[in-house]
Amino acid sequence: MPKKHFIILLLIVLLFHKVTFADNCRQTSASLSQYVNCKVLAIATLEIQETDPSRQSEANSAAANSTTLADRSTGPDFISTSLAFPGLASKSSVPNSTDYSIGVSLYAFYSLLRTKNPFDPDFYNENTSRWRRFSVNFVDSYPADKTSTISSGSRTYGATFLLHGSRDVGDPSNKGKFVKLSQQMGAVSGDFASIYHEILSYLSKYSPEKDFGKFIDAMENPDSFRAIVNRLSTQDEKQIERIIGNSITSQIILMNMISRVVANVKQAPQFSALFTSRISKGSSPNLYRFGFVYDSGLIAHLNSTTNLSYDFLNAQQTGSRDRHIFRLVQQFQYAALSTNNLPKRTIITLTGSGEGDWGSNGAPVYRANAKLTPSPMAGVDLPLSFTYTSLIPSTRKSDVKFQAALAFDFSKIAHALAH
Amino acid sequence: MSVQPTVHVGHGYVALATGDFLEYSLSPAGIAQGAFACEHRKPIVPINGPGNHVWILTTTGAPSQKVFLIDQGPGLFDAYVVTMLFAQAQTYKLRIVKQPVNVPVQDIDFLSNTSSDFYHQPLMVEKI
Repeated sequence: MPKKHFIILLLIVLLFHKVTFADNCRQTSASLSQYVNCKVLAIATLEIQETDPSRQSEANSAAANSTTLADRSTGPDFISTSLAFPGLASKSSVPNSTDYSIGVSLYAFYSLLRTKNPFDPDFYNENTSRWRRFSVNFVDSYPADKTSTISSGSRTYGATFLLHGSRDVGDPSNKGKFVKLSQQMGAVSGDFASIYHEILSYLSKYSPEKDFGKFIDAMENPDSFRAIVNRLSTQDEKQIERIIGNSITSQIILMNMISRVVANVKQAPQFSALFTSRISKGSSPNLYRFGFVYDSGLIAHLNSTTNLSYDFLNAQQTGSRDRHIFRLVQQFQYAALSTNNLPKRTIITLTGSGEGDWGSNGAPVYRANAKLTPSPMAGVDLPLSFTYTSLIPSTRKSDVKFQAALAFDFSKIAHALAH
Repeated sequence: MSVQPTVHVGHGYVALATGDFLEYSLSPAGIAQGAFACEHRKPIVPINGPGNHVWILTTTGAPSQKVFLIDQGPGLFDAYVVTMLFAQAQTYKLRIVKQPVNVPVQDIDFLSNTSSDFYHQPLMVEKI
């Protein structure tokens, strides 16, 4: 049952939350300059992780009452889950159901196999990103109305594999693109100077050394640095993160610029292959979908997702006919509101998408979806979805449906709680 | 942190009397990209291109293309930062020597195998 599964997942997350590290800077840094570099990188990385729009935590688009038309190019880093209740949906000719979904990355299995904490920064960065390219998802759908055509519900199984292109960074024709980075470097460098100075001033209260110059020098000595850093409380670390957070923008811009230039040179769009099957528990047609997903950032805060797929609808009732469908979905996603405090995250996302299904043995079906997604906390989304469907085959009429759900990305939650 | 610094000499602070100056030398294995900046000048000079990059931070004299004056008065601390990108260079060697006494202040090797890495190396400078 969905509730039972959900409680088990919550327990897993609570367990991992206890052992989730904010970062490993204290352990890996031998001096204050290394520590501040490490913290700047950790906080900027956290923001990128928390605001990545290409990760899917909602139920697969093939599920009976999914809140999305388009599937994203990647699943969660670790585990995601979502719940859609009949009470969170309007009445329409599409029968309501309770949908429970779970998405798991191969990285989650790999960390289990290696008996490693998946949120350990050392393990996360230890050449494990390839395991996060592949994710599987499962949706169990229970009907709200026993007399409906999907009276027995359905099970949806999906897999997504992120395919990467790669080009040589050292190609002479690409070198000019790196020159642009230099324009950003001055501000980044200067902002780091301010961060470093402010953290030194903050930490000096723990030192018996009253000569500020000698204290600074001591902070580059591993033993003296260790003596000070071991005395830091959680509040001290939060204050250091606040100091960094106040000047983090230029660091993030630089990180994004580097990533963009490197990605540009490599010409590696976020391109995935997906396979989905929705198996009816009753006599509704089974759906088999094979297709591709392309995710790309258009301008700041605006992301585009395109799905192109072949659907095979396998009829289960005598008299019904199979359908072969070409399906195209285009979705635009805009991060309308983000937090200013740490850890930074998106609060409200606006999404608009359109879908066309053209196939044999039936008229084309067009769908349009508008969605408002508030995120009350990092990793917790509440998608409020309105979908217009031009034709419902069973009623031969168009349909408008509202569906709300709750979606959780547990790696985002764990990272946010650790900070 | 995937940038690995190997510190041969690693002072965090240097005091410069009138007439003293710092000699900076940054040698990349590849094409250097970065900046030299302080809290108030962002940047003092951009760093871009192959080969050894040298410049001077001084207390006195006329500034030029490779010579920069300390802009803070006596008793004030200022953080000077060398930022290095590893997009086109896998290693850097940074050497800062206090002159005319010829005392090394920092002598650090930086290594990274990740093209998206960058690193900031600070030095607090006080004019006395």
